[in-house]
Amino acid sequence: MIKEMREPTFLVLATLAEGKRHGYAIIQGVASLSEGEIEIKAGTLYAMLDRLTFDGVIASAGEEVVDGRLRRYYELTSDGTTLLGEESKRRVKVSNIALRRLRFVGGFA
Amino acid sequence: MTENLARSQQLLRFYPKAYREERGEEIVATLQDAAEARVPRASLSDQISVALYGVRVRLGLTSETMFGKALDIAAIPGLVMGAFFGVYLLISGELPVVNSRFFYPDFGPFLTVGPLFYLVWILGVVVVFEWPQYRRRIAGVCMTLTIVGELLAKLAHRNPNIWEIAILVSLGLPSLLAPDVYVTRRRVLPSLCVGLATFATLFFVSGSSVNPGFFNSFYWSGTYEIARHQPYVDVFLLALFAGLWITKRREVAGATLILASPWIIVGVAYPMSLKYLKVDTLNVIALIAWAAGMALIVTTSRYRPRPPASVEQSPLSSGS
Repeated sequence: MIKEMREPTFLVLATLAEGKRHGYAIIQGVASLSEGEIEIKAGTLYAMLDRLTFDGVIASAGEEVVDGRLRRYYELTSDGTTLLGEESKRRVKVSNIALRRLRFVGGFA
Repeated sequence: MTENLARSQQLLRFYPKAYREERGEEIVATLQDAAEARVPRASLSDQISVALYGVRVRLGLTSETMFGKALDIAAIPGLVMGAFFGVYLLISGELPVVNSRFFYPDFGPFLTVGPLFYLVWILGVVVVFEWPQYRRRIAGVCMTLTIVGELLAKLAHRNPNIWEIAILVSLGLPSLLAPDVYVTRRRVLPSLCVGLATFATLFFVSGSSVNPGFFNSFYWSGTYEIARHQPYVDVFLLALFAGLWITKRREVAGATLILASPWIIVGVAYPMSLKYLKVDTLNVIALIAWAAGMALIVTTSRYRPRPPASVEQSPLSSGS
């Protein structure tokens, strides 16, 4: 049975790998990483942030008020970093195998 | 105060007070950022998603709560239970009726659309085992087709009965309500065990046969037989729930109770709908015990403010 992390979760963690981010910055980061393919809605984002915080994958990293708006920042925890690292390696490994096979059959340069 | 800000703040009413106080300002800020950057339609979908998540938090239907975890566990087994129920109805509901046309050509016809529904559920299970992450959509399709099909079928006085369809449709609810999780597990083995157990129990309670004739079919007396034998099943289900709860496998206990819901409810609701049937006292006791168990799960799943987490600096996030 394959246990893969779902794409939006992976992209949220990958966005936070660059440093702490607030809610809308995470939405932008995901859109940027996925080249506009995945657009996380605000409600979905908070569901993910709650879940990831509960599981100890991310944590709140301070807050500030900018232009009268409260920005709460999130960052990866050590567990989150490990999880993201493992998932990234798994994805790279699978992609490399796929590319090798495609080259073998001459379908991909 | 801008109209957008006022609307964003109104959306917070969907959330419980404790959550609102903890995260409200932050969510409003994100909504405002999104509204400034996105086209109006996208902004509306942001607001809808925030409202829907608010309802989930209020009802305890998030992936962190026991209710949410129990629904996640029950989701795919529920669909499989529905498919096995469909197979059972094909054998014990449809076959005897088809057979009756061979033995008694002048009797009937008993028109039915049942096989179409059951096929949808069986195909749904095949698809959900392949793509478990789409379980909500798959359940939605199975449930919608069954409800719309049944309404159309009833206009033309065709089988199956509304009770069988109500049980079938309710078995898709856990998938529809379950929260999103990182990895949607297929749960093939437990699901098949649940399906087979349902199948075997139905044979036991309804005394099924494939003898010809409408009066031998499940459609004639199956729901009555379920209600009549329900106390035996209820005792087993509630004992299983209690055992799992005591041994701290509480999410699995919750899933058991959720999957038992349609059967326990039908045990009381079906006789109540008919003047000539008396409701079995044991079924009523089981229903009360079920309601108490569900209340326990829902209460345990209420949102509670979290203590501020200590941030452990990650090696990747030193530079922001």
